[in-house]
This record gives sequence, structure tokens and C-alpha cells, in this order.
Amino acid sequence: MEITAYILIGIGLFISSMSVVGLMRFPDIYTRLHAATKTSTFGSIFIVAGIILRNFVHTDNASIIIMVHAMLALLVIIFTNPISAHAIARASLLSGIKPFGVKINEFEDQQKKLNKENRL
Amino acid sequence: MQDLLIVTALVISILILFMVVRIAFSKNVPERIVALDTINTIVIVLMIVLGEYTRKALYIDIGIVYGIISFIGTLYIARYLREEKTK
Repeated sequence: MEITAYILIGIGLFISSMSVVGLMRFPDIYTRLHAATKTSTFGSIFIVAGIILRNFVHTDNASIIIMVHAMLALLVIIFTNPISAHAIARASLLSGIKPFGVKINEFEDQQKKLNKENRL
Repeated sequence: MQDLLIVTALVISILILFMVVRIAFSKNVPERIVALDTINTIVIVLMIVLGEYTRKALYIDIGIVYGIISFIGTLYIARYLREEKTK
């Protein structure tokens, strides 16, 4: 059980490092969001799953408390991370930043309409 | 086997350092916000790992509250960014 938990933590660390490599290497914001959000969410799911599994075998009070609180923190990560990524992508698209290497802006009329309505 | 947890915390801290470098050397504001958002996620995970290492649930609570507050902060910066450019 202990070794399985550490293998899970190792996988999570690898995926999180891949997200950081993606953020360092990719050229513009949309590809960076693609690299950062999905992989960091997935890596934190793996690391927290390893920690939950590490406490799963014990039945004393502190282990159960740590397990439940780690599940709550995982829930917070899963709910908030995609929403904030969506908000950043939408705000940067509406404020007029083009994707890397793009000549024609497909979203121009939609952008103007949303800017006129003035809502996020 | 308890030592591997502190190694995990060290590796996560190195990832945070790389993200700080990314914030310092990026071109415009949204790229910085993306790096900041990644830092927030990684800090929550670091808090969980430290709570497991010290066997105290208090650290994990700090992580939960930090996650919610940083989420609100990211939404506010996104809104500010959008309203700034339209005027």
C-alpha cells in the first residue's frame, strides 16, 4: 500500500513537471493554458490520491481527518481550476490578443458584439 | 519512507521557482496570470504534502482557503484585464 502511494505521488510529480515544461516552452497564452491547466490539475489529482491512499490503511483519528481534508482540497482544485482557466482565456481573447501565428481573426464579430454588451 | 515526502515538497518548490522565472520573463499580462494560476494550484498541493509530513490537518485547511481566495483573485484579474482594454 505504501509503495503504491509513492508510485502515485511520483506519477503526479512527473505530470506537474510536464506542465511546467509546457509553460516554459510554448509560444503564446492559449497553448500555455492548454499545457498548464489540464496537466497541473491531473498531477495534483495523482499526488493527493497517493496521500489519501497512504492514510487509507490506518484507522486512527488523525489519519481519517487528514484523508477527509485532502479530499476536500482536491474537490476545491477540481472545481476552481477549469473555471479560472476559462475566465483567463475569455478575457484575453476579448481584450484582443491573437493566437500565435494567426493572420485572420475568426472571432472578430463575436468579440465586437460581446464588447458592446459589456459583460464578461 | 517519511523522507520521500520532504523530497516531494522540495521538487514542488523547485517547480514554483521555475514559475516565478516565467512570471518575470513574459511579454504581457495574461501570460503572467497563467503562470500565477499554476503557482496557486501547486501551492495547494504543497500544503497537502506538508500536512501529511507533519501529520497536522491545519496545513490542509490553509490550502483549501488559499485555493478559494486565489480563485476569486484570478477571476477579478481576468475581469480587470477585459474592462481595461475596451475603454
